Amino acid sequence: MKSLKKNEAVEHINVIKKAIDATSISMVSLKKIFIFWAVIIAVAVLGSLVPALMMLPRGETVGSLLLQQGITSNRVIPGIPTLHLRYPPALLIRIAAMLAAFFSLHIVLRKEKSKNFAKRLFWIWLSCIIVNLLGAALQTPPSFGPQPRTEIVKALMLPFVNMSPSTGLYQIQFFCFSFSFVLFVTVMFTNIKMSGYLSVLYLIAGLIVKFLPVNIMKIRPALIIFNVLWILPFVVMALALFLKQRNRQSV
Amino acid sequence: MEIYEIPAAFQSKIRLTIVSALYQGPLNFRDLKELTGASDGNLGSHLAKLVEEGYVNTVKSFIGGKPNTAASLSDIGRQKFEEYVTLLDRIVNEGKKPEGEK
Repeated sequence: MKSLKKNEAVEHINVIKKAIDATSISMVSLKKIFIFWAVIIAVAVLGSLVPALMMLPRGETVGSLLLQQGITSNRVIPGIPTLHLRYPPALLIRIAAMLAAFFSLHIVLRKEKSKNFAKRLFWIWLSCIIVNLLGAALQTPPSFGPQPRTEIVKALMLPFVNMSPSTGLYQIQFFCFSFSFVLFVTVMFTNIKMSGYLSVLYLIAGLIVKFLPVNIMKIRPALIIFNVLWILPFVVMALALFLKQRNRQSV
Repeated sequence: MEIYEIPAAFQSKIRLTIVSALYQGPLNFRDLKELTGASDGNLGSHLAKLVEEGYVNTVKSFIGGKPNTAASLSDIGRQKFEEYVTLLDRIVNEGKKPEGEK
């Protein structure tokens, strides 16, 4: 047995406080979940480029297509050779993404003994992603072989949104507002300020798409879709890294 | 618990961190390793000590063919931890006069 002085007691209180802070919101589980989702989403988004490449007419390049659609300038993406293959691309990628989401849920919940709130948060994120995937899947019928340019651009925007002028903007709004909500819920659960800032960012993006006439802004809708879509994996990864950093600082 | 009765489990910062973390709920070996920043061997020996003293329970299993060790705080461990926190509070507040007292 050993006696304890006051300064040692204070030190021990700090150790306890930091350990409890680090585990009270199950930071370890949350970090893993966010990193996992970042990878899944990134794979789904990157995978959407493959069907687009497969559907390109002979002689076209992704660079020239994006240029024609106003998504990029010719200084941004140089010409990429096309593949000229005939496969049913879009729906398969979406179904694969959804299956991956369900299987990942099963694996994570089996492996992780995470606390109830972490599971609830995970379910909220999962629901949001699946609803967005499902919305996109329902709006676009399966397509086979070389497609018109509009179909190719739709495939480029997989898995969350479509390029269709009539439905695309609604879907972007839904995408922005739903992720704003999920990020806000994350703040409620975890008190992570960064998630709050990102929630506001998505809310503003959604409001811009909803209320500002796109043609007045001289920005093509595709440009907004493209940016909103590609930022998501980085949002989730940023949250995960933030949790990791916070976890490291706390102990 | 008196000042001269501090259990060995709380005399090491790593063990104190482990017990404090487990007070919130069960964690697996990897989580504890990340939390404490200890090496596998170091953490293993601290966990073994806590198990030996009856503060922590561990369950070893295989998940996806890989070994997994889940640790949780025993009833005794929980009780001792609460007593220790009370003791720390008493030491820190020792000598402090109640408000209004001259």
